[in-house]
Amino acid sequence: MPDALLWLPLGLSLIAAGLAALWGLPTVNRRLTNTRAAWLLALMPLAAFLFLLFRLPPVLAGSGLIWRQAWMPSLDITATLYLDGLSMLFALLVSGIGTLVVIYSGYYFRGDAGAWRFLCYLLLFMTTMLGLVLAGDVITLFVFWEGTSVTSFLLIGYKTKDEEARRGAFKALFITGGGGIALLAGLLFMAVLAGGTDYATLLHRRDVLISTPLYPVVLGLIAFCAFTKSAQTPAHIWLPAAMVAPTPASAYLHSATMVKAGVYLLARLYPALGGTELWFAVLTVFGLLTMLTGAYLGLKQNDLKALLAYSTVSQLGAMVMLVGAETAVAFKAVIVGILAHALYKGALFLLVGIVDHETGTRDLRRLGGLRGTMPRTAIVTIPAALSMAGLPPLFGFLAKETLLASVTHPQLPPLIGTLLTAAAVMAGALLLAQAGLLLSDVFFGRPRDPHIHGHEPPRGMLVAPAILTALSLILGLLPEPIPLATLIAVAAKAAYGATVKVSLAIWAGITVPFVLSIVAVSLGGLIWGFRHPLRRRQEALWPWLRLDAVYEGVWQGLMGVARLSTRSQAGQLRRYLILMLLALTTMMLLWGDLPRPTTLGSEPLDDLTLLRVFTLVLATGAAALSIFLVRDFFAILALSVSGLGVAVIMALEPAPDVALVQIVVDLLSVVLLTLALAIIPREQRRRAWEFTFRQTRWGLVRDGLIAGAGGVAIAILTLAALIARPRTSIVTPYYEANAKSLAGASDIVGAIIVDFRGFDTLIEILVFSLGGLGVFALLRYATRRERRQAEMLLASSAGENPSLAPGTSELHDKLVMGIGGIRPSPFIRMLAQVLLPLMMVVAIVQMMYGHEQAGDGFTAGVIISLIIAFWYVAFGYEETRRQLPWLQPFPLVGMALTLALGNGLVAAMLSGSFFGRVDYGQWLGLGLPRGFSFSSSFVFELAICLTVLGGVALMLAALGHPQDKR
Amino acid sequence: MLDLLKALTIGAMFGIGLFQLLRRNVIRSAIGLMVLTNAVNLFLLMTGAYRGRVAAYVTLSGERSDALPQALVLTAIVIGMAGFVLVLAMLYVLALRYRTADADDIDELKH
Amino acid sequence: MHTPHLVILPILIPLVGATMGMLLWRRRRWQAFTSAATLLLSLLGAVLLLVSVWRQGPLVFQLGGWPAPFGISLVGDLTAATFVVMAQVVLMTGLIYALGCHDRCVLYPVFYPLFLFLTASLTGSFLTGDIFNLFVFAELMVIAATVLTALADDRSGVEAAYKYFYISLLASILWLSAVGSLYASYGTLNMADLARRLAADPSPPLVPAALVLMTVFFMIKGAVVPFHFWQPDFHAAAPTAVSAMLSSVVVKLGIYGFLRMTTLLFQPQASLLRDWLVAFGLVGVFFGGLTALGTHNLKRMLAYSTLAQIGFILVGIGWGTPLALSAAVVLTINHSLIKAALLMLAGAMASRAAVKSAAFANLVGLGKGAPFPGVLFFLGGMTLAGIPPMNGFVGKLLLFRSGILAAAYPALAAVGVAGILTLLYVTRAFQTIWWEPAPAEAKTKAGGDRLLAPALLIALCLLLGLWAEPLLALADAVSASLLNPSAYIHAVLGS
Repeated sequence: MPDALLWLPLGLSLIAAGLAALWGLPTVNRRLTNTRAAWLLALMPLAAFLFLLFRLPPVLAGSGLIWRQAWMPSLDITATLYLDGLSMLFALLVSGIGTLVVIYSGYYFRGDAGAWRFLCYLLLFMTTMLGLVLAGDVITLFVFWEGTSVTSFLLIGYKTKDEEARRGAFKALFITGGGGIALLAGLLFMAVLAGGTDYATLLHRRDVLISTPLYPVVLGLIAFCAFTKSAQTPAHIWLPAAMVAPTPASAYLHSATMVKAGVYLLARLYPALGGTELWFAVLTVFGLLTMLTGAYLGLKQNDLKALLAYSTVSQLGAMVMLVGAETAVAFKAVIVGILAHALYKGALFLLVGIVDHETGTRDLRRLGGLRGTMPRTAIVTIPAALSMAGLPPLFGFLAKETLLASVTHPQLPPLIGTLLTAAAVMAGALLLAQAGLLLSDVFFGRPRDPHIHGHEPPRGMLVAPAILTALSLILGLLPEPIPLATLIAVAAKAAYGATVKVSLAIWAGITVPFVLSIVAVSLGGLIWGFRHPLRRRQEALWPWLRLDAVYEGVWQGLMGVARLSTRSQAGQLRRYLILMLLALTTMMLLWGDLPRPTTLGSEPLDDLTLLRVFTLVLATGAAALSIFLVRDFFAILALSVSGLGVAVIMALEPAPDVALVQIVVDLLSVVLLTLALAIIPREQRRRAWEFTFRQTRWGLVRDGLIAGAGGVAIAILTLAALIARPRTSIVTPYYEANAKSLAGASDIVGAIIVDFRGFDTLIEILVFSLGGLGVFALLRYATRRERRQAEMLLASSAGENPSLAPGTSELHDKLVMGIGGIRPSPFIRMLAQVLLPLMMVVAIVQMMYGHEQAGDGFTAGVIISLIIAFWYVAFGYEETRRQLPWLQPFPLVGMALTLALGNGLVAAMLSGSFFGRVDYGQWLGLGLPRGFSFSSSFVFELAICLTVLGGVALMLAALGHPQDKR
Repeated sequence: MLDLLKALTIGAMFGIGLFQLLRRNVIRSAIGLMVLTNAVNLFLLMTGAYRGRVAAYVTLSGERSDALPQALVLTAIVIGMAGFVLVLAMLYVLALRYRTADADDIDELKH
Repeated sequence: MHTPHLVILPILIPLVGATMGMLLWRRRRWQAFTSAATLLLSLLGAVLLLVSVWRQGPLVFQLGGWPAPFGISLVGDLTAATFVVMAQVVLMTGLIYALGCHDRCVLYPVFYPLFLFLTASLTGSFLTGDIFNLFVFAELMVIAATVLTALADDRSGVEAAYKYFYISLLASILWLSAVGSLYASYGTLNMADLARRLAADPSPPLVPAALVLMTVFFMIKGAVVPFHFWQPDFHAAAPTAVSAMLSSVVVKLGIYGFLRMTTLLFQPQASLLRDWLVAFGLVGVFFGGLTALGTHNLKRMLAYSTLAQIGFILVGIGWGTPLALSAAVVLTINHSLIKAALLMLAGAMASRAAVKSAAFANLVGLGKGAPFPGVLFFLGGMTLAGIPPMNGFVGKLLLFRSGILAAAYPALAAVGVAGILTLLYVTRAFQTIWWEPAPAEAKTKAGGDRLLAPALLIALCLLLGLWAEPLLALADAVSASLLNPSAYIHAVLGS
């Protein structure tokens, strides 16, 4: 039935966590001692515990409480909380033991100002753990499941300075995180197969789930996750490593609550997935293995916490095994076992924490005879240890009885039954021996290490363990604690599906289990008697057999592969380019499916053919020449020749506008390349040249092959495009039809550039001006930084590279004279003086009539810029700047862009669409000479021209004068 | 026939460009970039739909060349130019920074 | 107000801002102010566009009033609008970071104009409906990013920019060839028109080549293994405010391209393309995860992890089911937010170190004095690893679910295995910086870059995790609109 307050326990513990964080504030922290703060914080989990107790009656009556909150409707995922017997039992444990642990940690961290962090993490963990057990649908379950992993990571790594703590936390997160991913996949599989995420639907689709071929996958994923969380062999290795956590955390997470999450998951999903051969096999095998491994390794340990950890592993194994066994009594045994284990193991951890805290060690080989100095602690410990040993009249005895009863259940196949029985007896015996070891070697006997003097902890510190111990004592002694029995029954029923009869009487007469437990006890006593030789023998036996080593190996291997894969990022551009081009070639070969032209084209020869052939050869030849010419300068000249050849090819296409631009660009780039050449020190270039062909022949072949492949591909594409001529173009006819009427231009290309696709051009000039800005900025700021470095270097190693040193004569010449360093003749200077205005006029005309003839703003801009370049050559940097004050790069570009955008906007206002075309001349009613139109296009051309001018001015200013003095 | 020659030319220039691009001498690889750009511009021009006899002017009659690719090539040329200049600037700074014009020595960022 | 002009606002406003910035080049304070103001304005415009498009369907702006396919059309359909908003939100935070950081390069008068040009170009390449116009925008983006990186305080900035620029020029050459091939095949450049004609007749000989060339172009843009080589160097060396943008939103151009290619442009070849994407995605997922684990520098780690995250997204696109597509969209948005935040945090920590470098060796134990960035980084890492309740979890959930529904079990298994790598490298980085004790001689600078921007982003991630419904609804709407290309085509061409 619905319960609007079911979220309250989570809310309370979350608030508590928030308060703990607040307590971290220095002002609060100073006023509040740890113990007091802990007592206050403990009220919250206590409240949660009480809240749950109040919800006990309906749950015992067998009805589950549900709380729903829409979360992701479009995936029909609702956050659901669900409280039935099983979750009730766990929730009570979590909140109850949580309360005690919080109180305990207050004492454990006495005087540690950082304790707030621990308590904050702990309470966060409590929230997630409560959420995990209260979750009512698999997504909510997963959310909190991951939450427990993360928070436990924080708790294990609490002592961050400690290398071991970091490793342990990482290991735990690695393993449980891996489980988490498996869980998500498994749960989603279930949800998809069953068609719903909440238990209500999921748990009633067993028939669907176990009948699909995917069932093994689902079960595998879920089981894997549960095993990682519940520390089943071989994933158990994280649990002992997690013992570096502060003891309260170990007591809470690694005995009472989190490690049981796996068992909870399996028990919870049993109705949906359980009851099959596979289920039985997987769970029993792993459970059995884990039970024995844990029990065996536990006896070997010298560290008390490690000993407890391994016995926990053993117990978890037993529980998993029981969930696999799928009989009513087995589920009873699981529930009782969980309860009993939580009580005594929690207590023992806390007590070990006390011993550690008061004596400063947990090493069995150094402790001993503490009953004298720590009588109270001893008194509290004894019943807990006996309960662990499974001796009457403690609750642990009951747990062992039910365990034995379920492994001797007639429903099991005889052979397996005996196997399980033997294993259970063995494990029980070993656990008893360990409990004995714990008691005898810590509290009894004589002190082994004279330096260790334990003393009693403050009373408050004993409260928590005392309560837990008392519980396992009382629950054992009480004749038939009815409500508890019903709770266990309800819980077992929730997991098992059918009713489970539960009686908690200690004395059930002489039964098979009883006999078996007598056997176990006597065997355990024997082991205990011979513990020292046995433990020494264990030490000697297979020292190399360590699962941690396997984990380490995996981790190291992973890191090795990782480091190796970073080697691919070798840092050399050429390698990158080559690899990319190879990949591209491969893709082309696999999927490119290049056309196989049948004809070689049918373009008829005309009177220009000879010229065409000549230019084609020229362009290619010059380009090829640029490879082999030794002097870079000649190579550049070859490049420019090839560029001009290309221009002629374009002109013959015929595409006069393109050819024009190609020519000016070619000239401009040659000028700039030469400038760049002038500022890159010669001997550096010489050294680089030596490398040009000096590399492995294989390298040359490889590059040649790549180049060849690329060339062939493009050639084929070109041929395929050419022989298909003439084709139909969708867009061009429109341009041809409307260039004059709509764009007022007879030059169709110009019309496209400025009107039809004007936006392209706008962005294009942005790119161009940005190029200019980039060059300017680079050579101003980056260079300045580098030069500082260079000067430092030069200061150290004098004149190793003179051309870099500022203020050398070469540089001086560049400043006061032309870039060439030679003072040009007066004639040249006069020429420059005259040419500038002339060219400006030419440029203006260019733009005015650009729509009628070839040429446009770009060409105009470049023309002016070239003259300015000429000025740089003729007058040198300083004088040019002095004589042409308007040559301010930033404002020029800025104004140009303002013009372009403004023009677009005005056009938008007049013609209704951004970049629309408006004839301002008409609009203003100006009478203008024929063929000259003052339209938005003209303004745009002007903007282009200015941009180019600004951009080129920037480039020239930068390249012409890199060594700025500012 | 002429088509084939054009195709071969463009292919050859493209190949030369790639080869130059992969040289260790940074000036050469810059040259390669330029050649490559030229080749691609030509290719773009060749994708025009018509076998042009006369330039794309409204005033001219006859089989006009396709105007659109020309417009695209114009844009591409200008952009290529800007990029080329930027490359030069970077090369200069690199020469200062690494004291080399050998592309393979410029490998401080790796792994 | 459902007017086409909404489409051009997010491009135009940053351009205007950049121009103003250039005119104000001597007044740095004003420059910064106007830039922030304009970017905020255009962000508002973008949000307006998204809302309007989501409510009333796609908007198309025919530039210059020329009818499609003859002019250039800007298409604001739901996908584009979503990407634009995503990009501009992140770019806004980037600007905020730049305002509060101690880099010298943000003082240069070119910084803010370039940043706005970056914004405009990225927005434009999302919004344009014309393949050549896309090329032009992409070039603008490349140049802006290159210069911004070359100016980095980090002396290796120029090297990184140089490598990036060369590889990008190669990419644009490929794109131009693709444009040529497509024009030669169909005689048009308008995406909608192309899509229509290509669907009608995929036979022309140049089409497969064009497909490969375009794919490679977008793979270079999106840093898809093995076309990723520019990315780690570039993103590690750029100024923090910039690298946060590059590794988060700028690479998303590739993702956008693949979404368009598979659902609009190359419908006949879509199934083939999807198979490649899954393959490349899986390679990237493992390669990225491993390299991120193996590298020696926090920023590089984050850059490598981008390779892996892009891989996850590609797998989603490759599966191609409606759910998988919305998974891809959600993953894209999440990754943009979180990767920006993490890189900012990395930069902030580096700015606290004595030597400004993000090398782990340099950052060990720096976190001791800085718990707040620690919390942010931890949350961010959990987001990246898809741990609830951060929004990364939503993406992971969707991806897994769609994989199961698409019955792509092997790929799903691979994705799952690779997923653990994320957790590993994030955790390792966190432990190194915030848990390991600092070496004795290490000393930290007082106060680093401001943390407002990453805090905002992380908060957004948490919000979108707890209240994921809007994100999911948007993603579903986007994938629906993607799978209905005829609406796009109709909106552009009419009739």
